[in-house]
Amino acid sequence: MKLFANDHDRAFELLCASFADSIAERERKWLDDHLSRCSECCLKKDQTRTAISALKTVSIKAGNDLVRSTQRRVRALCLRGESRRRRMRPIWISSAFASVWMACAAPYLWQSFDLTGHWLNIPDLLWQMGFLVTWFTPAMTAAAVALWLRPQLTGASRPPATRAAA
Amino acid sequence: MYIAAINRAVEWTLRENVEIARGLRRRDPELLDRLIELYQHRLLRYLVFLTGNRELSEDIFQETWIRVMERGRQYNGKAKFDTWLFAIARHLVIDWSRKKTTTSLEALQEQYGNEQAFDVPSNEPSPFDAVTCRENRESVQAALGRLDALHREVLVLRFHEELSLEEIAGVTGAPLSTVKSRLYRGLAALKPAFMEAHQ
Repeated sequence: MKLFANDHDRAFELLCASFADSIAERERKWLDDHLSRCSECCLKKDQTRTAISALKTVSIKAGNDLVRSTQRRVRALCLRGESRRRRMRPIWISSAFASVWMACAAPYLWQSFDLTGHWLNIPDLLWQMGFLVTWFTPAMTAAAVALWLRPQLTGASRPPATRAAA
Repeated sequence: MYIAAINRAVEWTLRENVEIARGLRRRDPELLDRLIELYQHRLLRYLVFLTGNRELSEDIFQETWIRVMERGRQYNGKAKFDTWLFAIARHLVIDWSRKKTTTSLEALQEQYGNEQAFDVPSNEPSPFDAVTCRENRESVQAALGRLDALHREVLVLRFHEELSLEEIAGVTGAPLSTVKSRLYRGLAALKPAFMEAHQ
């Protein structure tokens, strides 16, 4: 239960609540009763209502230039994003291939390097290094291509802000 | 019959929100064009009320739409699009105020709050404007310049945008009780400021 210093404070809070939202029937009755007896609060009610009505008349409109320049900027970004996505596609595909290769080929590749190493009497460390190089080659290639293309793919991502003509 | 009409309107709004969410996920430029047109005045008005500065509001207006395009995937269509849009705009204003080393929206008042920000002559006066007493309008513009950003914000969201208190809480990220208290304080501050300017 909220405490008020006096009935006028309570009346004003209820007034604001009634303008902003709705108030309970019991509170509405109390407010009406108070307003019928208090000319000062009645005046406050009228003044608040006038202030709200005046507030609603404040006219702020976006200019056509602002809207057009925003639309142009957003559209340019949409198109740029789309073209970037298109250019990224080969990289995603090659990365996917590299990942699949690494996941599926590992046991077979290991076995074949193991067999070849023992057959040719190559030291273990050497054939294991060879395995690692072969295993990583596709992923490394994809990463190298991505790094090489990176400046073109991630270049200036936003067109400069254009202020609407005054 | 009345309830059926409300249900139809709610259903239509939900469907529209889902369509917007789909379009934003695709980054559909046509949809973005339409949304910019549709919400141009409402968004700018909210920003001007929040920042009290027309020029800054126009910059943030553009940034807001770019953010909408970039983060469109995050909009799921369950909430109303306008509340999501206002929340994005609000975050941008807060980001901007942090960059300027101020810590909160209240600080905007000291930096940019001015009466002239709201004195925006409209190219095409609405019929409502035409019949409205010019004196009243000037008084409220002066009064708004004296309120702080948080109070102006809830006043515009409630009385201009006609959002419910719950929706305002969603936009501002504040509890419902805080929204109510800001609204009451805003009204309490607006009334004397308006009367003073009116005299």
